[in-house]
Amino acid sequence: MNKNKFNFAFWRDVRFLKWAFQLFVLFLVFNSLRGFFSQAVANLAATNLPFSWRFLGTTPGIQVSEGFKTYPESGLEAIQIGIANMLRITVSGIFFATIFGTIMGIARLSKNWIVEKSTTGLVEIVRNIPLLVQIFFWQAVLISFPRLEEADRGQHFIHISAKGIAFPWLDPGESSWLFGFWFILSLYFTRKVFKWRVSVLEKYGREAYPTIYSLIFLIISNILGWAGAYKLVGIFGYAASIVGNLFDVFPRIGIQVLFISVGSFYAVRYISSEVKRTRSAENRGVLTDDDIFKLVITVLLLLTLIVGMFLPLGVAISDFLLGNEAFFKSNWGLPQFFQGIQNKLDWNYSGAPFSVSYPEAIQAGSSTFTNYSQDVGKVMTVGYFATWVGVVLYTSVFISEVVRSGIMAVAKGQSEAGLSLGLKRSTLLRLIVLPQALRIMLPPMGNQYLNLAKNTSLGIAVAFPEIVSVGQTLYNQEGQTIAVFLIWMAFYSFVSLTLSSIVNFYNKKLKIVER
Amino acid sequence: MSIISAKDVKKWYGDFQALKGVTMEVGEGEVLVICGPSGSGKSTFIRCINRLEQHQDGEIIVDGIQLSNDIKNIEAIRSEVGMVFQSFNLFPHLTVMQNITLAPIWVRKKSKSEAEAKAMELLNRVGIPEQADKFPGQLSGGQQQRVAIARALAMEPKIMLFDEPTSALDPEMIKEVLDVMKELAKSGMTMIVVTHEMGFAKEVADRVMLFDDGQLVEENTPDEFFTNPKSDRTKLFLSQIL
Ligand SMILES: Nc1ncnc2c1ncn2[C@@H]1O[C@H](COP(=O)(O)OP(=O)(O)O)[C@@H](O)[C@H]1O
Ligand SMILES: [Mg+2]
Repeated sequence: MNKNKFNFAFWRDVRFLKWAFQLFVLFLVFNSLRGFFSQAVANLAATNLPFSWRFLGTTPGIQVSEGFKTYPESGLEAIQIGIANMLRITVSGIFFATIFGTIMGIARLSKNWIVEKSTTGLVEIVRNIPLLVQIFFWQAVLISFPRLEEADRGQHFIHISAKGIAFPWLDPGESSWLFGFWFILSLYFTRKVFKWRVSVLEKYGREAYPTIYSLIFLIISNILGWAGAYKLVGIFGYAASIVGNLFDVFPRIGIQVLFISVGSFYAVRYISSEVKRTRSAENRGVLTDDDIFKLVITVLLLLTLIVGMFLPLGVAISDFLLGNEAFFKSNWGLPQFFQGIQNKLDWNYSGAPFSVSYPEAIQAGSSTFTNYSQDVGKVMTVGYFATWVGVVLYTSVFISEVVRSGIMAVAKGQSEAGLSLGLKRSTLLRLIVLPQALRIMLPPMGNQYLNLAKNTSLGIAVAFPEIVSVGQTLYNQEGQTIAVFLIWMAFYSFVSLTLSSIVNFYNKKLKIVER
Repeated sequence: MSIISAKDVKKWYGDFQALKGVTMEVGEGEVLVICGPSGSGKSTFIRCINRLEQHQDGEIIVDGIQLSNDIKNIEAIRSEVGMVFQSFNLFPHLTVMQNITLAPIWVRKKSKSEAEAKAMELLNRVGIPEQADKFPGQLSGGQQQRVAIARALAMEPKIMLFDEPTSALDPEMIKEVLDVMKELAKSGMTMIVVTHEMGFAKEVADRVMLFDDGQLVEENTPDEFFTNPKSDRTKLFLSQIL
């Protein structure tokens, strides 16, 4: 501090105070977390149930009422079933809530009196009733249907009973993954075709029919794909098998390289974005103390990660991930993961990717009860139905509000300017109103998606086995309350962070440049 | 030959009558200035001419096309009639260049390169060629309004409507916009300009009109309008603004 032109004590230096404060907060947070945790662990130890993750590896002896498996072989598998169930509702829920919400939002702007009033009425009702009550309501609705009787046995097209809603479903053949991958690729290229036709239109100024071209491309490519072109996708499976073999040959290095490269990638990206920001016109390359603090911490974290991966702890982590125990080997091992991909995407597969199967009511096992067959068709159980309808309707209503206010927030002058130039209404909507409305809608829309994801946890009230419900069953069985809570927290944080980083990504991409 | 003719045009907003029978004609290449107190129906009238508002009685004929609910007629007229708004209404998510080329590409089906060449020519004409790749939010008010004029001109309209184009501008920017408009007027464009810039009216207007309470109360040459108005209402108005 002697070099200072002005002479004052270092503890009055703002820069010193900032650093000291940051470190102090870090210390506090770290210490209190450690305190909580060790207290909880000590309490548990006192009750003869020491904290442990072991239940993840042992067979829990619980039954999960629905999911990709009913009798999980390990605690981890039980959690995976819960996660899969939660994601099933979340992903399809977000999809449908967006569609319904958008339709409702536009309906609320309609000049048609009946449409406007009835949608507004629906919105008011749904918005003002607690979601839990609504979920119970939908459960009651489905339960009030007749029970499945012996007379119902046989094949159906659609069948509704107190057991749920049974409907036809696509039965995947061995080539289903190949075709699914092909389909996703075709969507990507359809987008390219659309953009290409738009650029032709813009460049040569003649009608280039982007919608028609891309639709035709989509249809033809998928007909070809269905007919067998999906085998081309097998190349990805082959590549995966090579990567898998590499991991097999160099197991620990593989994990370490993976961790370090992911870590470095994010660190480098973060640093370069920081540097770019400080070089921008307004900052003129001046690094504030905050910036320096952030950069130093980033580099330190990265170094810790790199060094750590080769220290006993890091080695332990990579060993742990590769698996000393059987279940990690079969489920988490990277070689197995990549060989799994190869297994799904093998170009030797053939036949129709999907076939339609119809639901069937059969005698359940050796009992006298009637139930839907698990093997054909698809059954939407009462729990799934109530949770799904509940969260989708509830979220749609809030999304409709977001859509409505988004469109209304685009100034009237924008449409008038577009119209006065002679633009068609559809062009105006597509090129002027929607791009601006989307920017306004995106952040609140992201919030609604987050809410939907979190609200699926209410499924526990109607015995839908999502991650909270499964977790609760697990800790009732095993007593590892803290471990389960940590899993829940980690999972929901992961989902929330993923969703919000997607939203942030698009938000940045769409940002309007202001002075 | 008149390019715009309005006969007994009436317009209501609910119970409120904003236009109480306006009859007027505008000849090709004529520059018409409309002034009048706030709320007198000036905006409503010129917005009826490109059907941003619909009149409920009387008839409006623009370039030989009668305004009706026929969507094809409306779009045809809108692409012949350019409009410049008080609040610019540039598209904030598009660059200056995209703002100007959007309609020529999508409505006139021009090629992008052709539309861009034309846009550069227009930006030169309004004096801001260096701003082509900026976004509207990065420009000053006067620059934005000049872009808006270029955007309207890019459609090669036969008629230009201006609704108080300088009212939202700081005094030092008014001149740069008026200069562009004067140049346009002298080039022979048919223009209807709602404005209180009396200097502009004196210099380039062929006729000046005064609106009051939804009616056309005076129609005169600029000289007569300012020095020897026919109606007392005009005298009162002039005494208030001059
Ligand atoms: N959309 C509208 N709804 C109801 N009243 C309107 C609307 N637009 C304009 N008016 C009314 O019509 C009258 C004329 O408005 P306007 O043409 O904007 O006047 P000016 O442009 O001369 O100031 C005003 O009294 C105004 O309040
Ligand atoms: Mg006005």
